[in-house]
This record gives sequence, structure tokens and C-alpha cells, in this order.
Amino acid sequence: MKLHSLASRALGFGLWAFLMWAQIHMQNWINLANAPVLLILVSSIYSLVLPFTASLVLSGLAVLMFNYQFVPPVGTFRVDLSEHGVLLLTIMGVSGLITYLLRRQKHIADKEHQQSKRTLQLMRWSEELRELDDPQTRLKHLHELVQNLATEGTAIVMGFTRAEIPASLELSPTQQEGFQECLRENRPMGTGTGRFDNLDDLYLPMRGRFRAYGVCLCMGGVTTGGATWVRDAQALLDQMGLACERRENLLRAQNARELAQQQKIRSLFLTSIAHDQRTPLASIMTSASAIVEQLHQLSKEEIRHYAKLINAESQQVARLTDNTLSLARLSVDQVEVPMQLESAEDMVAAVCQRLRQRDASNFPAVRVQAGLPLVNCNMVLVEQVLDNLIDNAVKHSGAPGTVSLEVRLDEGGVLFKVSDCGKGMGSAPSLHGDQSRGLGIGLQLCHAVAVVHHGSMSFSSNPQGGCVACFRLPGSS
Amino acid sequence: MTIRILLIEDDRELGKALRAALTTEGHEVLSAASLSEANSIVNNQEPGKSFDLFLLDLGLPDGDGQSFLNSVRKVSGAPLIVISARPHDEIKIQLLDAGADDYLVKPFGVGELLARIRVALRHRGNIALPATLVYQRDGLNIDLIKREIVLDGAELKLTPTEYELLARLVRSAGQAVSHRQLLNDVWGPEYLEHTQYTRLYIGQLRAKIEKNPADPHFILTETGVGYRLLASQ
Repeated sequence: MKLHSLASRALGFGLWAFLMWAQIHMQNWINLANAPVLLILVSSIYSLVLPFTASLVLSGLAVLMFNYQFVPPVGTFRVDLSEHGVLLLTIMGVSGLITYLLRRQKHIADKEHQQSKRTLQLMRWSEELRELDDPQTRLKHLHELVQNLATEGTAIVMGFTRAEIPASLELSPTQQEGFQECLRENRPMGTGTGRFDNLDDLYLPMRGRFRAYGVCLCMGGVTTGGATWVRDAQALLDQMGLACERRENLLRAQNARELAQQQKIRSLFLTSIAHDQRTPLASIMTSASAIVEQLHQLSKEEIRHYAKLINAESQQVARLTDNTLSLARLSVDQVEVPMQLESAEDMVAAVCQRLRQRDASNFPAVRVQAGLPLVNCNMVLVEQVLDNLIDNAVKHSGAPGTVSLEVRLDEGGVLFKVSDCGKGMGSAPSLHGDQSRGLGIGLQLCHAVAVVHHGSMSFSSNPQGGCVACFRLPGSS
Repeated sequence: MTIRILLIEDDRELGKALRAALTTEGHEVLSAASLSEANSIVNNQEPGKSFDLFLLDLGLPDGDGQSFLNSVRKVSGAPLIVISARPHDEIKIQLLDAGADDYLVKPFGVGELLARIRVALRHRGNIALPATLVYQRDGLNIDLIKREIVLDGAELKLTPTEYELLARLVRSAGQAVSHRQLLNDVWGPEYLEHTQYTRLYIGQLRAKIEKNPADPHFILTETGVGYRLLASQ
């Protein structure tokens, strides 16, 4: 930019020098009649590139030289006013007028050029903001843009909240208050704005439609280009304000969607629990009411039968409650599940103990590979998974004693495989399916436990009929 | 044998049911619904009529079980069994380590409760008597005095650590022993963090003692707590 203006000045002076040279040395070509035309032509050209006063002074010198070289008596500065005064004054006047007109034209063109540049900058800025996820990350860039608009040396501070402004900038209490006020009012204020004009500084808000999202503080106000500067800077700041508002709305919409989704999951969860509970509760209620209401008609054997049923079904409800509690615990975001190195054999042993206590007739065939590594897991949750899978398999198997649990090494981790020889599931059981009681919540829990352990849970059909459930825990490094 | 039991349980229905079941067995049951009530009962008991056993439910409205255990131990050496509502209750393990005798997770059957009470009483009884350090059950005979282990008529060889671990379980046969207690008593207090030791050595012990280690009949797994050697017959 600087080089460019130097070159144009050199060109201006060069043209002037040429004009002077031509007047001295080309007297054979130039005379009193055409010299003024040449003078006016050349001076109008250099006045385009030289500052206004310099042009006027140089033109005056050129007219003096013209007077010296061509106006009789030639070789002196003397002027016969009655004969040549009008000529000289006219040349001087026309040259000055042309210089003035060209300068004005140039000034207007420059202004328009600058305006279109700023419009383009504004468009680019707004496009850039639109493509960003978080416009607030571009605060530094906005600062640069506004700083470029201002005259050099103007201190500009901006931020979204007062707390964000670094303490090193040491805003005065008035400035801090002004910042806060501007943020609250969503209107420009301070010197030159008509609001709190007595303030030393200028405060421009990043305006959204309903509130300001940040404030730009120009220390000492604006020195040059007042209204235009404020308009252009405000336009840039408003783009940021609108972008922030857009993002805020987007986040709000997203939150609402997530909330709706959560609500849906929650109601699905509640439906599953209610569904899973209804069957065992129905058995308990029927048996208990039979004992209460028909006590005298029932034989001891029948009462024992009902009591056994109540016992078994209440264990079912207890299991369901455990599942629900664990699942609710795991559904919390970023839940911390305490894990320890545990032995797979230990966990299988605990599950077998519980199965024996409940009903020894449906005991699965258990095979655990020797020398399995310890796995980092939550023992309570893994046992719940195994318990659910075995219970589920027992319900699906056609005959007792056809369920098997196999535990073996699998790619450094431990694989728990529960298979039954039942009718199979046709397809993998759905999370919301109601093929079997207890399956809904139990299965959801299995998946959730697999997820927190970075393991996997899958179902497939057994080629010999029935279903195979594979629960895999990764090896601990 | 009639024993005096203090039942500390804030759930009225469960309290009633437990009381009825224990009374049916011929025991004398007093109940308290809060820790403060339990404390005042313990502190004001008639001389010569002390309690033989405490049943303490966790999650009482006015404090944790630890403070009660501490205050009870000052006046009574009777066994204390913890009743806990959640399987992942850390306090229950803390209480076991602090000297509680056993624990039960709700819901539990009456049969299980009575069995635990019998074991707890037997152990407390043993404190005063010379220790009968002989264990017998289903073909497994352990004599801690002769350091002899016989399984189905054949002598069993154990490594020193395996033996120490088994001996520790025998001394508390029928009761849950926490991982911490095992680590402290077998390996020493500096090994309390090495929880994998118990898993590995119990695995080795089971491989030698159990017919099917994955479906054990002697050393049972107490999920999240430790192990229990079934009571001697």
C-alpha cells in the first residue's frame, strides 16, 4: 500500500518535471497558443495522483515557468496585465478547477470502493459465522476486523461477559459498569451515540433480537470517521450477536429433542417394568388370596403348593427389582461402576449357588475352562447378567437339563456362552419384546452391563435348535 | 434353647414378620425401629438378661450401623448379623471387617436367617471353649491341630499359602469372611490392596477340593464380599 502511493507520487512529480522540461527545451514545438493546453492536460493528470495542495503549488510553478518562457517579454517574469493577465489567470483558474474536480471525483470513488470492500467483508464474515458450530470461538477474528476499521492506536476490548475480559486490561469501574449496562440494554452507548454521551468511551453491543450477547468497548471513542465507523463496526458486531442467538436457539431445540427422547425411553422403561412385574404378581396374588379365602377347604398339601409358588414368584419379583435398580443406576450419564479384578469361576460359582437355592431341577450344565485370566469387572452386575441369561434360557428350553453355560477364553477376554435347546427365537430377542416375562428389563440390563464393561452381548440361533446368548468381557491389560 | 435377640429394623411389616418367625422358633425377640432406640435398650438392659444376638438393618433413619456396632461392642460380646437392602452395600463389608459376624441381603428366606443365627451363636460359643479346630463335611476332613487334610479318604497336599487360606476359612466355617480379612490374616496387612490374590488362591484351592470348581460345594462365593466355607456337619 505504501509502495503504491510512493510510486504514484513519483509519477506525479515526473509528469510535472516533464512539463517544466518541455517548456524550457521544446520551444520549437510549443508556442504561446498550445503551451497552455499542454499545461492544463499534464497538470490535470498529476493532480490525480498527488495531494491537492501539492498539485496547486506545482501548477502555480508551471504557470510561472510558462510566463517566463512564452509570455512576452520572454525570459522575464514581468507581465503586461492588460495583454496577458487574463490568459495567465484563466490558465491558473482552469488548472485549479480541474484539479479540484478530479480530486473530488477520486474521493467519491475511493469512498465507494471502501464501502464495497466493507460490504464484502461483512458478507464474508456473516457467511463464516453461519458455517461455524460455535461462533464464540471467532471472537479474536472479530476483534481483528473491528480493529482494522478503526484508526491506528485505538484500543478496542471485547468479550461476551465482563468476567471474560482479562484482568490485565484493567477496566475502570465506570468501564465495567458501562460494559454491563450495554450488555443489559442491548443498545450502543457512550460518546457520540446520544446515550450517556458524557462517557469517555464508546460501547457497542453484539445485538441479538432480544438481548446482547457481548460488548465491544472502544477506549476514548472514535477519533475519525465517527458515524460511518460506528455503523460498519456495529454491523460486524451484530453478525456475531445473531450468530450467538442462532446457536442458542439450536442448542435449545436440541435439548428439547433429547428431553423428549429421554421421556420416551423412560416411559418405555416403565412400561417394561410394569409388564415384567404383572405376571409374577398375578401368581402371588392368586395363590395368596386362595390361602386367605379358601383356607378351610384347602388340604395341607395344597396350601404348601401355593406357599411354594408365592416363594418362587416373589424371588422373580426380587430379581426384577434388582435388575431395575441396576439398570436405573447404569442409565445415569457417566456412571462410575466400581470394578475389580475378579475370577470368572468365582462369578459362575455364585450364580450356581443362587440357582441351587432357587430350584435345583433346572440346573444348567456348567463348563468353565481352566486357567482363565482374572477380568476387571463389577461382580454384582456380571452375576446379574448370567443369572438373567440362564433364567431366560431355562424358560425357553423345552426340557429341564438342556441349558448349558460355557465359559472360555476368547481373544484375550472371557466369553460366557449360555445355550438352550428350546424352540429358538427365530430372531434375536428384541429389547422391547414381550416373548417372555422378565426378558425386557433383564435383556436391557445385559446390554447396559456389556456397554459399561466395554464388552459385548449378542444372541444367535443354535444350529441344533434353541438360542445362544454370548456375553463377552474384554481382558484386562 | 431360647435366646434373646434384639432386632433393629425400621420397616414395620418386615420387622413384624421377622419377629413372628423368630418367636415361632422359640426365641425371645425385642425390636427397635431406630439406632437411638436400640442404644437405649442396650444401655438399660436388666442385669443378667443380656442379649445373645443382634440383628441390625442398615439404612436406619438416624445414622449408620458402624456407630451402633462400636457402642454394642463396649457392653456385649454377642454376635451381630447385618441385614442389608442392597447387594452393593459398602457399609456391610465395612461392618464385617469391623467385627460384625455375618450379613444377609434382603430379600432372604427365614430358613437362611435361622441357619446364620445358628452358625453365629456356635462361633461365639467357641470363643470361651478350647477351639475345636476340626472340620468335617461330605468327605472333607480338616484337622488344624495335626495340619492334616483328607478328601474322600486320600490325604490332600496343599501349598503353605493354600493351607493358611483354608485354615482361615475353617476357623470361620459357616460365616462369610471378607477379602480384606483373608488378605490381612493370610498374607498380612501390607497386602490389603492385592485383592486378586484371594481370587487366584481360592481358584487353586477349589481345583483341589471341589469336584466341579465352577459349582462349588465347600467354598462358596459371597458376591462383592468374600468367601464362605460351608459349616461343618
